[in-house]
Parts: sequence; structure tokens; C-alpha cells
Amino acid sequence: MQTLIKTATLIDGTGESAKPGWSLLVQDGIIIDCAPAAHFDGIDAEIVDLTAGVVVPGFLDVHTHFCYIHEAGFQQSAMQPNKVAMLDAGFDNAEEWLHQGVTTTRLVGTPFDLDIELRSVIETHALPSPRMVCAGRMMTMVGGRRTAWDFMKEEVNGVEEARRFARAHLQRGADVIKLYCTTLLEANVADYLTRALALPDDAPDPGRWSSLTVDEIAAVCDEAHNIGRTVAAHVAPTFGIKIALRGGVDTIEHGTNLDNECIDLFLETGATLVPTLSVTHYQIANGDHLDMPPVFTAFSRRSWDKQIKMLRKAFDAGVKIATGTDSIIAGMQFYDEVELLVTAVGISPMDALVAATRNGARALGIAGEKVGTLETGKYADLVLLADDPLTDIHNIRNITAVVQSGSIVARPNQSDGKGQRGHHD
Amino acid sequence: MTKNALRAAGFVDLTPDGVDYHSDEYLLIEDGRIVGFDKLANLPDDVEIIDQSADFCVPGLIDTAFLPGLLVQPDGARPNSYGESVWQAKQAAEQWLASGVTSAASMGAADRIDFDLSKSIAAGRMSGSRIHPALSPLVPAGMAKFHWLYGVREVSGADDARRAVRELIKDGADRIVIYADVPLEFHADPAETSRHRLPFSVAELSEMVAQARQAGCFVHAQAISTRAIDNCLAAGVRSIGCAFGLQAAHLPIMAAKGIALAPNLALGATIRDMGAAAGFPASAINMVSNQRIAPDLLLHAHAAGVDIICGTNAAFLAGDVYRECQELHRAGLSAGDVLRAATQNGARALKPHVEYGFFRSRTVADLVFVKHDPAQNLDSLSEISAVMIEGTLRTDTQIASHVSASRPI
Repeated sequence: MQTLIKTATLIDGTGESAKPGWSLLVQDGIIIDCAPAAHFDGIDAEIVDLTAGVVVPGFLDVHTHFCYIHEAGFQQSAMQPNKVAMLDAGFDNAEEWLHQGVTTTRLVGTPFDLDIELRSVIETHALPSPRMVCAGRMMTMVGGRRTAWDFMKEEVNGVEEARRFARAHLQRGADVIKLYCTTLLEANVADYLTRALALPDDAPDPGRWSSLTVDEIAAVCDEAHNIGRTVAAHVAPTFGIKIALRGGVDTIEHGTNLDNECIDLFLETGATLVPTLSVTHYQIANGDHLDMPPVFTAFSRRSWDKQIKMLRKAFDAGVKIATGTDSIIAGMQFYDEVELLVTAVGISPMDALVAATRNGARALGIAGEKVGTLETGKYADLVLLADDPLTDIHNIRNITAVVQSGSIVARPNQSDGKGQRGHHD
Repeated sequence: MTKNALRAAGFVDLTPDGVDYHSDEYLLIEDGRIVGFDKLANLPDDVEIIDQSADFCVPGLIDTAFLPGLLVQPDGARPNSYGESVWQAKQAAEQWLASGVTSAASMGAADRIDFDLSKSIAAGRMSGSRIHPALSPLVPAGMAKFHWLYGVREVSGADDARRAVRELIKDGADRIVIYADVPLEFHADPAETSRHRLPFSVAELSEMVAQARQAGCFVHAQAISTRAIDNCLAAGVRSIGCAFGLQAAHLPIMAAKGIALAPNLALGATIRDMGAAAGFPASAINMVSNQRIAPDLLLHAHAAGVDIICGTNAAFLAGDVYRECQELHRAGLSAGDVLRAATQNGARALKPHVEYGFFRSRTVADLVFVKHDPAQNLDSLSEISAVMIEGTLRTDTQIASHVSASRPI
């Protein structure tokens, strides 16, 4: 049985203008035709009426950590992680993100490969969740395990160890390999930030850093790209961004300290930037209430303007940007990331939607081939918004239906009670 | 300090002589612990009344043989990954709570699932019965491959037994669970299979008991063959489960030493009903479903003063505490004695310091509310309307939705 999804206004995620009165013909969850409604007159199909608003592709949050536990003391308890609690958090976050219209997500670094376990359980029991692209544990350099997430990283030394890790990790079920490319070797991060804050903006970074080498990164990329998988690089300092891009990674996560050479390298390699603005912005906005030293927030406040300025420059130069929340603080929402692209960076709502849909999909390799846009051959994953996001990007919060594979899976803002989490048609 | 006074249609307070319903009295609870019964006029001024007058109240039920993460679904699906085990353990903990189980003593689990689950529930991060973790169950060396329970630890010799118990306790085990004998091979004839069970020695068991006792823990032994039961009794474990090879001669020893008996009747009943559909080998179905303590021996044990305790040991979600209670009742125990097994006796077998299972002063306010008097009609346990854990009433829809799901098929 085919399904005909009727819309009043369709934004397909490609960046083309909105299409009034178009419909999507869906079979087995895949869009098999997309055309003005009149094209489907008389067709024998089940009708799904989504004409009460604007239809956009299901969103992609390509930087999540669903199994992260949001609570004070978690980082200190990292040596005794509660795997059950982490998995349980994954179930909750998966449902929460789906209700925010995220139909596909990429989990970029999860201890013990719990995201791969999470995905398996979610698929087996048909639990509400975005489609999940999983990175499992991260890879970093020997000596690089210095942060709270130490227990989710595997250390390598040299090209052959990196290649071995990549092969083994792909075999374990990873869709993407997450590299922790640079590590700050400071025992006291607050002290480092205090020193950095005391220096002029253009002074060299006062920190001691370790990083993967270009050759180590290239070996991982070689193995991943051989089979259509991708490589994501966590990296903030300028030198690290360049190393990662020269190694051939597909996405730069955070990329906080871009310079002009970084932008050139992005354009040369075609890599995508996932700036994760919302985690920094959330920290700036709520830092006084978060469980972290004030200097963290102060540092973020100072670096914010420069980061935004260079991000805008990168966008104008043609660097592809995709949305990722880095959802490690309770209270963060996917919407924030999309809105910040418009309100802080200053790009158009349409470009922000493309970042939240098509660009994220393109950064996922074969895992993203069928998502991100509403075109023939793609999954019928879409979101019905009550109001037009092109006139006000904040309208992406007014979701009335979330659709995966042509079926409504969530009604977040319904007044009939169907918007409650746990309800599924 | 939080002060509550609980009103109920009747408090099913099991006494040696019968039941005291404490008519016209309130149960005073302070900071999650029971203070005692009193008249309304005598209650403190700052007390908040919880009105459950439509329900009878019994102490929270105690499952002394909870199997987290190894729960076979009615369609036969079994967990085949860590994630799946966690998912099923999460489901089970919620359903056990909805069934009135406020304390569930783990039979052990792989990868510390029962420990992590217990911490998550205690922290309020997850919903479910209070879990008393056992971590890895201990089995005789060489037997792990014959054992279907994931996460077992092999032990050989008294020194190794001591090390194993010390490490388990250090890692957070609240009780020690052992499989006192494990089959070397299976036969269609259960008696023949029983002949080929390799047991722990008395020396090994005694070391486990001694180490556990020093740490304030009890040792629970699953023991099938008569020889294994002999060894467990000699070593002085706190409770024995399954005990298919139990003989009349064991009963006075158990009564004298205070060793409790968990017949695990729900296990056999559910496997008898569902084992084939779940893909259990015929020999296993035959062995488990046909081997059980004879009802007259169970009654004999009860009459001899052996504490009968409620332990589901149920590898099926349907094999819940209600089914265990039903089976004990069918075996001949009165409704009151079944309730005693599921509350007071279980509490005594759980920890040296009794904290649950009674309406006594300073015990934890874990309570279950049912529509009818379960001491008169045990079936009322199938209609649980609310559960209280440490003084907090749980009547939310999550619990309600799991009540029906947890009923036996």
C-alpha cells in the first residue's frame, strides 16, 4: 500500500524555494515520487494530511551524546561509570530528540560502544528514536586520555595502531570513527583558562597540547572511506583543525578557533564544519548555574565573538556547516543550534534549515544517503511545523507532527494529549 | 523531618497467632521509616495524612530470587547482548515493583548489571524495585560453560572461594549467590541428570559463608542434588533455592540452623507452560518442570519450622511473584503463610539486620496496597493499586500500566 503525504507548503531541504501544494508518494517508507498535488489525482493510496502548516525534512543533529548523564558529580565518578544508567539515559534522550523533530542523529563518542548497543535495542523493540549513526568509543593519541570522558577513548600510537583500531572498530559496528584529535595536557584546566584569559586575543595559546599526527588520521580515514564510512574529528585549537583536515577527516567537530588557512583547507577538502554553537551558548547563558568553575564561562564569553565572526566568514566562503548540539548539558535543545545560525551567525533561515537537514546528511557517508532531503529515493522522514520557519526561524519549535518512513511517530505540540511522550500512532 | 500517617481499610500485620488489622489506627511514618500504629487523636499535629482507606495494606513483597537481565520473553526471545540484557532488566525491575515487590534480591547478572541497576533505582534515575545486587554468581570451576546464567564466576578450592567472596563484596555485592552444584551432562531422566551434578565442597562453602558473614552478608545457594544440599547445610548457608533433592532428614537441620527454603515454584510452572515455545530443550523442560519439591515435603518443612521464602527465580517475565505466591498456596500453604513467606521470612533471609517485611518500628516503610484482604484471598495480590517505597507512595500511570503486563499468562 502506498501512502500519499499531502502538504500545503513543502521545503525539501535542498535549498530550493518552498513548494506550495506539493505531495509525496511513499512506498515502504521511501519517497517514490514528489510533485504538485494535481499530479497524484485519483491515485489509490492512504492519505496522510499534513496541510496544516509547513513540511520540512526531519532534522539531523550530527553531534549528540545520548548516553551522557547530566548530573553534578558525573565527571568525577567517571572511573566507576554506571553503564545501566547511561543506557537508560540513551532511551530517554532518543525519545526527547525525536520529539524535537530530529529524525536522524549521529552519536559521536560513547563509552563502551553503548550507542551501538542502544541502537540495537531501539531497533529490536521499535522504540521511539531518531535513526542512529554511531561512533562508539573514540580514538585518541597515547597519553591523550585526560578528560572526564577518558573511559570512552582508546589510545593509539602510530599509523599501524591507528589502522588496526579503525578496522576493529568498524567491525564492531561503528558507522563513523570519532577522533579526539587534540588533548590539552593540563592537569588543571581552570588554571590554563585563567592564564589564557590574561593574554591578549592574538597571543599564542599558552596550553600544552598533544595531538594525533596527520599520518595517523589519514590511516583511519583510508580505512573508513574504503567502505563508505566517515571520520569525525573533535578539535578546537587552530593547529589541530589543520592537522585533522590534512589527514582527510569528513567533519570537524567544534572547530572553535578557525583562521583563514583553516577555511582554505575546508574548501580544498570538502569537509563539513559542525560548530556545536549551542553548547557554548548554553554555557554562556547559564554558566552561573552550572557545575563548573566560573572561568570556563568567562573564557567561552571571550572566545564567542571571534568564533562567530570566523564561522560567518567560513560560511560566506562556501564551507558547509551542519547542526550538532553536543548535548552534554541538561536543558539543551536541538532548536537552539538552528536558531543560533540565524540569530548569532546571521545566515538566512533557509540556509540554517539546509544546515539542519541536507548538510548533516552529506556528512554521514553512506549512512546519510537516504536522509536529509525530501526527494525521490529518500526516507519519508519529515516534520510538520505549524508556522513558516522562513519568516521566523523560531517556528521550528512549533512541531505538530514528526514522521519517519511515512508514519507519524510523534505529535509534540498537540492539544489532544497525543503530544505526550510515549504516545505513538 | 517528613511525617505521614497512613490510613487503610486494614493493615495485614501477620502475628504468630494470625492477623492484627489495627482497626481504627493509623500507621505513623517518619522519613521513610515506620514509627508504629496509633489512634488519630494521638498523632502529632504536623503529620500529613495519606488516605488509602479503600485498600488493605501489607508490607512490601520480597523476591529472594530476582533474575535481572536474563528474562525470556513470552515469545522465547532471550537477551543476546549487553544492551538487550539491560533493557530487559529495566523492564523487569519496573514490572516487579508494579507487582508489589519492593525488594528484589538479585541472583546475579553479567557485567554488573544488577549493581548498576540498583544504584540507578536508588538514585531515583530509574523506576523499579529496590535491587540487592549479587554481581557474579559463583559456580564450581569448569562449570561455567554448562551454566545458562551469564556472568558466573568459577571457583575452585577454599582459597579461591575466599578470594571470590572478598572481591564480590568489595565490588558492591549485597549478597552472595552460589550454584552449589552444576550438571556435568543432561539426561532425559532428571534423576540421572542429578547423579551427574558436581557440587561445591563443604570447605569451599564454609569459607564463602564465613567471609560473607564478616561483611554482614548472607549466602544464598541454589542446590539441586541431595549431596549439594547436604554440603550447604553443613556449611550453614542462609537459604537454599530449588532444592529438588530435599529430603525429610534435612528439615530438622534447616530448622535448627535457621536455613530458609525457596522452592522457586514459579520457575517450574512457567517453564512447564512456556518452555517449548521459548525454545528450551526437552530435557531441560523435563528436568525443571517435573522436578520440584513435593507438596507434602514442603508442608512438612513448614510444619518443622523451616522458613519458606518467596523467590521467583523466573526466567520468564510472566513468572512473577504473584505466580510464586499462587504456587505456594496451591502446594498447601495458607494465604497468611504465603504472605509471611513473601514478606517477613524473605526479609529475615535478606540481611542479618531486618529492615523490611514488617510493620515494626524503624523498619523501612515499603508497603503494598490491594483492594481486598490478601490474608483471606491471595488473589487480591493480582490487583495492586499502589506501592510505597521508603514512605513515598507510587500510584503513577507507569506503575499502573505495568500491573496488567506482569500478570501470569
